[in-house]
This record gives sequence, structure tokens and C-alpha cells, in this order.
Amino acid sequence: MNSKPPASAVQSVVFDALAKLTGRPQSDLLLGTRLHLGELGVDSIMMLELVLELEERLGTDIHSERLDQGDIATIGSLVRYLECIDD
Amino acid sequence: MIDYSAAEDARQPGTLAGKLETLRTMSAQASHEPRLLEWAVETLGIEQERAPDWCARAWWGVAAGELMGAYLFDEALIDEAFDLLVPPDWSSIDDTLKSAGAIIVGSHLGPPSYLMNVIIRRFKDAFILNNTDDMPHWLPGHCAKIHNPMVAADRSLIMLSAAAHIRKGGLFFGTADIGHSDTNIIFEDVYGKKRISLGIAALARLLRVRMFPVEALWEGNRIVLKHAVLPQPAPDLDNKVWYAEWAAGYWKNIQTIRAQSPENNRRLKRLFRRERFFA
Repeated sequence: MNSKPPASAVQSVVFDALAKLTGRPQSDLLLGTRLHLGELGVDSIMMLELVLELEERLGTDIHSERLDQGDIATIGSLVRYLECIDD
Repeated sequence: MIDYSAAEDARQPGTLAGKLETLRTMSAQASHEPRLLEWAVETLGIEQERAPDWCARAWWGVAAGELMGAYLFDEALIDEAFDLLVPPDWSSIDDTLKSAGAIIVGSHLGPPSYLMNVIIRRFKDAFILNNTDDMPHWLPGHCAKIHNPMVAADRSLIMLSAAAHIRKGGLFFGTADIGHSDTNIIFEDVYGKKRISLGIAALARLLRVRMFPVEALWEGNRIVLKHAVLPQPAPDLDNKVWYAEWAAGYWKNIQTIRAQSPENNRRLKRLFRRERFFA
């Protein structure tokens, strides 16, 4: 059974960017996947690369200074943060 | 070994400049220590006749750095520490900041904490990356943006905050020769292993901002800010290769300063601890 909800446009962009950044297939990525070094392996440099890539693809300022630990804990929390920016 | 306590010396009457000069006299004793002389000649390849002077300068640098630290971290004494600074030329950094953010990258050379304190005082809203664990309680109050990289879980947010600050035209300061980073390259020399963090290079590369390598170094009994010119990696390189090439140039600059001026080589502090030595 697939636990992923229907993908939003933002979610698709985030999954695609993360797959490219980490070299993992998108099928390995779930909304609950933790971004940090111990799981997906996103270190601080990769996080900056990700944010810059997402800004370019989404055409929006992510306001990275407003992010907190919860926003970058999992793929799903990052997607939710980005979707709120779009709102 | 010479019996010297910088903390005690700082509390004594007299000027900092006068105490530094007294340390010069005391440093002559270090030039007669057989273990140091032997290590300088055999390990570093210092010429026999230059070794006594090298040992005296090395001891002076360690003692003077500790004394300077006592002044820098005492609110009543810090101004005297700044009196020793040769007025720096900030024009290239100021010019850059008129139109974009910028990065100053230092390293652990010269008197500890001096460069950071100069930058805190000169650039009031600078984003400072530094270990705050051993800072006096009043110092972070001088700069609202001192961020501690010691906790790994905080580093991604610190990186993103630094990037936001730079993109708004702000100044970032940090040192890259630290082990407390997510991504680094290890270099090694006679003093042991040294981790060079790639985070600051990544900020410069990814945000396309200028990076100014600056060191606060002893010249005689005064401090001079030196702007280093590091080899610039080719712009078309892959990011990881670019970071690695930058780190190699940064490391080479550290090694050059260490070799040329023992008073600015903090790693020599180990020579003057009874319990540990490099070999």
C-alpha cells in the first residue's frame, strides 16, 4: 500500500530536487523521511544547495532565515513550509 | 619551562604594551631549552643558528596570545588590546558591501579571538560564526548575530541564516580551520591533522559573493590585519572540486604563515605544555 498522498506541485519539485541532490531514487523518498545526515544525508551545504534550487524552480523567495528545526526535519515538513509560502 | 601566568599578569599594574615587552625579555629563556631546540631543528628543519631565536619567538607568541586573551575578554581592559591594532584598511570590504554581501574568512593564527573582536567592533551587524561556549557573558551582547557551530543539529539552520544575511547585503565572518562542521577535508603536517571546513567556501561559491581571507597577526608587539590572496579555483569546476581546491589554497596559506612567523603559530602552544608534545 502506498502511504504517499497525492503529490502537490510543490511536493513534486521537492522530491525531484532531493533525488538529484542526494542521488537517491524518488521511490526511496517519503514525506516522513528525515532530511538530516543520519537518514537522507543532507548536510548544511546540501541544505543551502537545496533551498537555492527550490527557490529557482518554484520562483519564490523561501525566506530561509524564517525556517526552524521543525520545517527542515522531514521532507513533508519542508513541503508544508513551502506550500504556506505559496499561499 | 618558564613559569608564567597570563591571567595573573593581566591583573598587575602596567600597560599591555609594557607587559608584552617584558615577555620579550622572558622569552630569551625559552631559547635555551634543549628539547625545543632539538625539535625545531630536527622536525621543522630550522637552521641550528636560527633555532634559539625561533624558540624565543614561539614562546613569546604563546604567552602574548594568552595575555591578549585576558585583555580581550575583560570589559575593562579590552580597549587597551585594540590600541595595539595598526589601523586596518577596510576599503575593499567596505566598497563591496555597498552593493552586495561579503565574507571575511580567518583562521586560528595570531592572538586568539583578536580578529573576531575587531570585526565585531567594526561591523556592528556582522553575522559571526564562532564557538560561544568560552566567551564572556557580555561579549555576545556586542553583536546580535554570533552563531555557535558546535551543535551539529543547528548547522543547517545556521547556514541558511548566514545565507539570508549575506543575500541581504550583510557581512559574514568565520574561520574555516575548525573541526566542528558537517563537511571538511583533512590535511596533515608535523603538527598533526587539521580539518578545513568547506561551509564558508560553499557560501561564497553558491551565493557568488566575494570572500576576503584576513588574518590578525603579530608584527613586533602590534597587531596587523593581513589580507591574503588565495589561488582562485576555476569558475567552471564542479562545486565539490571547487571547495577542495579552495581548501587546499587556504591550508597552504596557513602553513606559510606558520612557517614564517612562529609567534603567529598557535599550534606551538603544545610545545610549552609539560604533558604533551607533537612527537
